[in-house]
Amino acid sequence: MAVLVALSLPVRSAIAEIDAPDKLKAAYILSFAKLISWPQDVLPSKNANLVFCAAASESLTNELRNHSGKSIQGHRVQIVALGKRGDSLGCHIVYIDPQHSFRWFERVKRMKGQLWVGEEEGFINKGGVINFYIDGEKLRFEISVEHAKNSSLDISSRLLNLAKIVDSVKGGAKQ
Amino acid sequence: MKELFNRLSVSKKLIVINIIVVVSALLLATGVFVSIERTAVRERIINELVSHTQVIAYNVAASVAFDDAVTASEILASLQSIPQIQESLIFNADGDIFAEYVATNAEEFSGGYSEIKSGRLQWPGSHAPTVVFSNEGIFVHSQIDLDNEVIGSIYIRSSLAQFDAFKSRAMLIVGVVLCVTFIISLLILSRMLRLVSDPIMHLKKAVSTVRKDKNYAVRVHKFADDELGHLTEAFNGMLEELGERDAELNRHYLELEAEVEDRTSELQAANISLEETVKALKQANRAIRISEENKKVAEESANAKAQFLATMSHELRTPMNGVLGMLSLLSETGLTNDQEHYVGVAYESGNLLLELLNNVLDLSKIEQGKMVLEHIPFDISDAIEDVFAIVGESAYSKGVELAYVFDDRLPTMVLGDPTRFKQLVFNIVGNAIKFTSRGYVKLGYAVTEESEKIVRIRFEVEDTGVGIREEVREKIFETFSQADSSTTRKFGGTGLGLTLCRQLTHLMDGGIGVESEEGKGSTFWFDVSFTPEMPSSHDQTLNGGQLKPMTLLVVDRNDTSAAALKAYFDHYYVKLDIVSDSEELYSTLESKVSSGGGYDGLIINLAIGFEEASRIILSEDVQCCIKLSQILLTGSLNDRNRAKEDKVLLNYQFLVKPLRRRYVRECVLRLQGLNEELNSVEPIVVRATADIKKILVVEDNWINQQVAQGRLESMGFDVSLAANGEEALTLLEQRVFDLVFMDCQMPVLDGFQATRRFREKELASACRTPVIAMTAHVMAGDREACMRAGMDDYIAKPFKTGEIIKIMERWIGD
Repeated sequence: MAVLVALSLPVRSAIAEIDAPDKLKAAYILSFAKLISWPQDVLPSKNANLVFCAAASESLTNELRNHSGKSIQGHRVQIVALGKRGDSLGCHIVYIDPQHSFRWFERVKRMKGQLWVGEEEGFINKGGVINFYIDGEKLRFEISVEHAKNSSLDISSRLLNLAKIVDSVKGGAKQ
Repeated sequence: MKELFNRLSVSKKLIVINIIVVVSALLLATGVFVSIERTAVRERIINELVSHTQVIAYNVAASVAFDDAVTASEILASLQSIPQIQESLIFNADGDIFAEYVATNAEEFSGGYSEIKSGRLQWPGSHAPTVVFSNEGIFVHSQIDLDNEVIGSIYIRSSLAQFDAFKSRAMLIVGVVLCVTFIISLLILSRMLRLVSDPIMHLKKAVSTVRKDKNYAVRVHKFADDELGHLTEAFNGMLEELGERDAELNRHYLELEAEVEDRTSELQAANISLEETVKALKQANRAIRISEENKKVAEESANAKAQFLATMSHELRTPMNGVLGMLSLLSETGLTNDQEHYVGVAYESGNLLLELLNNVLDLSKIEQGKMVLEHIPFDISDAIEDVFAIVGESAYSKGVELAYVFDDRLPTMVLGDPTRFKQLVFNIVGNAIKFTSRGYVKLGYAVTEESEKIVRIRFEVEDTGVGIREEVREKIFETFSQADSSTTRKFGGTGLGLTLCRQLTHLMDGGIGVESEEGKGSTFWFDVSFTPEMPSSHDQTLNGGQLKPMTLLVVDRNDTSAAALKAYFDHYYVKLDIVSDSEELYSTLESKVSSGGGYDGLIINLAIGFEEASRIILSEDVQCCIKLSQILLTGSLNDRNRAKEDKVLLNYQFLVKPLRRRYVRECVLRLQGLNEELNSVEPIVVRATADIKKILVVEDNWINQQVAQGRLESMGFDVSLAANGEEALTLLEQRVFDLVFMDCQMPVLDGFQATRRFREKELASACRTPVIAMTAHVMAGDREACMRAGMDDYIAKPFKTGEIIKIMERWIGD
């Protein structure tokens, strides 16, 4: 029932700008990393860092940097601020806020083993995997399973249970 | 409880014991099983609950991480499928309740959340969930983590429904098992118990049967070879024994009953006869009482008569002694022939009277039971020879041959009363001589019974006298009776002799009798018993080795005399050839000499006549063959005196008849050439003593005093007189006497006491005066009493010269 409610909500509030505290978003992003499996070649050993790349505001990047050094799935968390650079090579998770998304999607191509997280309407259609949205007072997120597959990412069902699953291919193609 | 148990029967006890054992074993087993199972069940329940908790924790982890309470609640709602879970709470990292679930059927329970708050449920560390198992329920608290980061916790409360279900199921199983086991064990027990209880019940039944019916034939079946089997066997054995005993008792009882019946009927019969007897007895008693009174009167009068007779005899004897004593003194005073003859007749008459008195006294003593026999050793042959010496002359003077057929095979030494025995022989032989005017009187004897304690001898006195008629033969032994009252006049005699003999033989445990043919003679026999005594050493038998065998020729016409001679000489190993006249003598002598032999001697019985004896001695046949010293004459004392006046026969040895062993022995020794005097006659010579001895005579009776004094003075003694013991003691103090004659019975002080006092006084002086008792009749007890009183010897009254000489020689002789 919640899923149904969740499905109907984004349609109503799609236009509204997402204005959620950055701290919560950073914690969510970190939690996503806990529930997603990366392919072996992208994250070969425990020594390899789990690289969080942020093409976002200074405040959010700083919030992420607070989590730097933590261990997720045995890997050390590394925070990289992309800034205006469009080079995302080596990033496992890339957060792209709406201010950077325009330029991002112009020059950056989809990369294998790279989780794209954003927070704008149409992000999934642009090729994103997880997209934040505000449902009333609550920060929620939607996930494109297809895009995840395309990016060779395996998302835990426990995460999927909490997310609004969107068919980005169909929806994106139509729009 | 224990009392109750004790009251149960053995089988019930066994059941109770078995049930207690079975139930307690079962309870223990099921208890252990249930407790093990309970632990396992609890473990399982806890594990289940923990795993549920962990599943929920895993599933809800993402929800907590993304703060999605709705999803968490949805996940929690899935717990509905587990009914026992009553409540579940999810806390976030701050400890605030994030999501909550309460079962629709949840019981009201307030303390759930407080469990954590109160700290009863600890925050789990290192992933292990905390579990609390209590009566209120099971509480599980587990952390929720995401990628090793703890992001919250979960709390679940479960009811105990599962556990309770297990418990009730376990109880049910235990109960059912108990019940079933109980029933099965009861069934088995009731079967098995009979193995034990049946024998006991049988025994019990048998015992009560035995007790009730007394039926000992009951036997108990033996079920098994165990203790009960042995008990049964023992019981059966006991029953058998009891049965036997009972049967025996019954038999005894029946026998007793029968016996009692028999006895009762016997007793009844006896009772009846007894009553009759009593009746008869009463009548008899009356008669007896009457006759007893009569008898008593008669006895008393008879006793009085006997007493009177005894007293009279005794009183008469004393003056008689005086008469006789004086007569014998008178005869020694040089009388004329006529005077001497008168005195002699008077003396003989007095003697006869004295004998009569003595017999009367003896008889009355015997009849009153006062006669006591002596028990001293004596020689029977000597006693007989003594008697024969006394009566011999009276027989030979009548021409009657008197012979004692000596038999050396018979015992001669015995224990008995020689005085009474002599009296017996004297009376019978004297009686035989009295009634025999020609022929012989012969005495022989034979032992009829001999043992260690008793020897019974039968004496036979055979005579050729007048004989006794058959009808009076028994009467002659009665008092004062003779075969013919006229015989008294003809032969004399008192008629008391045989009566006394019969009493004496009775006293000596024997009897007396007579066999007779009138006109041809009688044979009196008597038998008496003595105690045997070993023969004394001074036997007059000669040692056979000392003697050479001899043969003598005897001229004797009298067979009796010849037989007696033969018997005596046999004893000394001398053979006799007997001839009856001179013709036979010569032929015998001639044939003997011609055959080269000869005789060692010749004995001539003077009964053949003095002339013929002289002729034989002077004949050539005798003179040539027999030496003078080898010729012996034999005959009575009278014959001897006559032979001394014969010029031919004067020179020959003389063997006085009646024979004595002493004479024969001397004769044999003489013939053997051994020098020994032929002392045929004891010399009775009055010997004048050199110095005059002083004699005291203590005698109360004046006559006796005079007799004693006269006799002793005639013998040359100085005689003093005392009338009683007192006077005697006075005299004895004043003067010294050589000898005292003491009468025993005296007035004032009797002889015994006087002697005793005299001996006491005499103790002071060194010398001892002999005291001779004078007794009227020597009795067995008297002599002992005399000796006890201190007297030395005794002499019987009246005094005879010979006895006085013997006493004098013994006590004051040189």
